[in-house]
Amino acid sequence: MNINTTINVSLQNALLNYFNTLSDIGYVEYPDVYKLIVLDMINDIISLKLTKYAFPTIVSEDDIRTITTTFYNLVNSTFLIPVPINNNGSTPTPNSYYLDLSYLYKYIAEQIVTINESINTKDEATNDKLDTAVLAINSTLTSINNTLISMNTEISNLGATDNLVIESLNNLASRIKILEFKI
Amino acid sequence: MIVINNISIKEDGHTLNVSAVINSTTYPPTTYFDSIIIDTQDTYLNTGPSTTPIYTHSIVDVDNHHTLTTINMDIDLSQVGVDITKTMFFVYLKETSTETIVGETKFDVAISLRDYYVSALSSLKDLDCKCSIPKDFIDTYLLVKAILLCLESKSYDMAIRYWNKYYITHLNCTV
Repeated sequence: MNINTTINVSLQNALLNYFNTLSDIGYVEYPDVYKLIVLDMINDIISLKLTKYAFPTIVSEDDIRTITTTFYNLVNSTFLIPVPINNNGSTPTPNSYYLDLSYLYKYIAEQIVTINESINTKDEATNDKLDTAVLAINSTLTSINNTLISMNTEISNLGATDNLVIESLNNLASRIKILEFKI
Repeated sequence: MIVINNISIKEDGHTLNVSAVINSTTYPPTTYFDSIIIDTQDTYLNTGPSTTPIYTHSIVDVDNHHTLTTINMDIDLSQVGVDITKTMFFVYLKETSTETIVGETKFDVAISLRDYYVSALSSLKDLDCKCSIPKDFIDTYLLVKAILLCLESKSYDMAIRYWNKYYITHLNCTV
């Protein structure tokens, strides 16, 4: 699902939520409505409906980046705009990558603690445990690489690079370097 | 009968594209394009072309006769002498007839929202740094939306009112 479709579907869901809320409680707070309006504006820009009015027919990469960042800032900032869901049920937002990565970070950190303990005790009985830990870390690094590949695929599917994802990738790369050094 | 295919300002921001044909039921046709007249929001009359248009162009063939039934021309608005981004262009197409009937006049509106696009994108960048969405930003978008809806519903007087409000309220301001 590319970013145009994602935003379009999000707008549809947001409008549905808006009218459902209005019919239920008769009121939606202004800040939430403003976010809905901004989403509508973004949709207008990328849907190229306004090219009749000298809007550019090709939106630049920089503009796409701005729009994507704004969109993901709006997502989940109000109940009106839920997290978009892909056709396969996954979530094409940078938030999901953060969740996966934080899990991996935690796992790696635990392994490092185990290694440190083994090295400090220098007990031969723990050598096997150390080898196991190193193997586990290697396997984790492989899964990180796989995650990176899938993230790159997701990014190319989105049609634009996202600052948050790039930042996340850079963090991950630097952490992998540190881990390799420690191992 | 005049059929307008396209009257809009191109992506370059200063070229007005006018594309239209005359649908004739007879052969040879009895009506041909006569001229293009452009009014602005200041000279617009809802009765037809004004007597003080900003641009007039006679549509003639190489022999200087009104024989054309299809036009697709680009007009450089930077030569017209108005600020393109702040002007609504009411483009009239007049036809002339070889018979006694009076040729009809059709028109469409062309506006450039290029400035709005640029300022909207820069405002979106600013939104990242702010916790809330400024009211001015919303106000401007709603005004632009109102203008577009008025144009679609052919409520030109109201569109002009909103257009003037948009430029008076947001003159020299970012969205």
